[in-house]
Amino acid sequence: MGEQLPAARLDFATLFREHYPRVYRYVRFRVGDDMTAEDLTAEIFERAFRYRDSYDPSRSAFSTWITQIAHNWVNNHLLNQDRTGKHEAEAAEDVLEQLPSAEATPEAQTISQEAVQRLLTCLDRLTERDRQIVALRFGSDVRNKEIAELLGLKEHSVSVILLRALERLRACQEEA
Amino acid sequence: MSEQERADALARDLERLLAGERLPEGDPLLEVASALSRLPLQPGEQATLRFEQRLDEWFGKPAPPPRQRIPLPALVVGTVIAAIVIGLLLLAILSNRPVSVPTPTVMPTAVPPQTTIPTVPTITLRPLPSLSPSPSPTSTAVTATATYQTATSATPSATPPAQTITPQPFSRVVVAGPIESLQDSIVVILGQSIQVTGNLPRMCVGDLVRIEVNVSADGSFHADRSSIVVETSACSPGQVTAGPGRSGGSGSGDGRRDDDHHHDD
Repeated sequence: MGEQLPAARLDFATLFREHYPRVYRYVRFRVGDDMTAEDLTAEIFERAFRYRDSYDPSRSAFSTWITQIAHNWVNNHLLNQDRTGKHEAEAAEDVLEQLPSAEATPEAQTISQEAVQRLLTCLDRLTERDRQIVALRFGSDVRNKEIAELLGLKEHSVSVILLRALERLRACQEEA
Repeated sequence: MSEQERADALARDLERLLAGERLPEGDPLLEVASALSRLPLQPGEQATLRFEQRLDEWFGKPAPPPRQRIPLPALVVGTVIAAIVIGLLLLAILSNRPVSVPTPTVMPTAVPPQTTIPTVPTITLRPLPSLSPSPSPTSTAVTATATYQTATSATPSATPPAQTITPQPFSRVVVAGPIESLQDSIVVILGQSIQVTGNLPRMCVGDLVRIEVNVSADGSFHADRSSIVVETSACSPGQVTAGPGRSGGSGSGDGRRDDDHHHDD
């Protein structure tokens, strides 16, 4: 992927294109609606472009670097929302209506629209920390070890948090 | 099994799950995890388009994909087929193009067989180049380069050059040779009778003359008196002459008239 090349020689355009869907998915796991996720994703890549020279391929993979930017940017966004009194949970009511058409994707053949909506609703009920880790693990496909490094936790702790988060989601689904 | 052990076991299962492995069904947590990993969350088309535009602004347009190279055999076959098609087209065009085949009505038959006068080396029928643009209806398209020359074994070619497009009723040629006979206004040169308009200049049988002749459509030769040039005179006392004061093809001459004889063309 060219991630071992010096930053000046990296094909950032290609890297950005490759990672755009994954970053969006991560952001969408963490925020309540598509539009906000799209805006935040665009802002994340704006920052990545602005600070692309600071990326050192010898220190981390591009996916780690861009995920870190996304993680921090979404945290800032959520923090600002809290300060302005708009909690992300308020947007949960609109989540179901804003979901993309599940029939349009292959995944829709294995997971129904209703199940998706129920799962996202339950996702909104997780604590922010649980949601962060679930988003990193399932939205951005980051391994437990890297999640631990990113959040300053132990890997075992990440595993336990994931276990508990999944148990909560399971319980939420059963309630529904 | 402690929570930590369950968490570690789950972490390992998740690794396999997210790597694409199929895990045995029945574990409710893995089912939730599987559902999470398959959530259809994708950016909208508009957002993707805006993102691409931003990338173009930042990095410029992506390079076009490399052109697909045509396999060499296909290229060779295609080239051969194209060449054949072009060749056939050219052949068809050329074969359908009307070819102007001259059908001259004027045949330079003025040259008699060489055997009749073996002493004369050549008879030249030469179209006059200056006559080609002549407005006269008697002008001919016989090209100026057409020279009909009889050799000992040669027969005069009656085929005009291919450049002759429009057959003309007349042709104008130069007949050069010795006079065989003189009868009134008819001069016979190498077997070809030439009707001369006007009084004949002083000429004798045996004179080597050059006459610009109009050839009619019926093959008859006509010449004006002024178009006769006596190259070499063979006149001698008692020889058949034609000229002023003379008519007919026989009789003794009364002397050469210089004005006629030295007619210079």
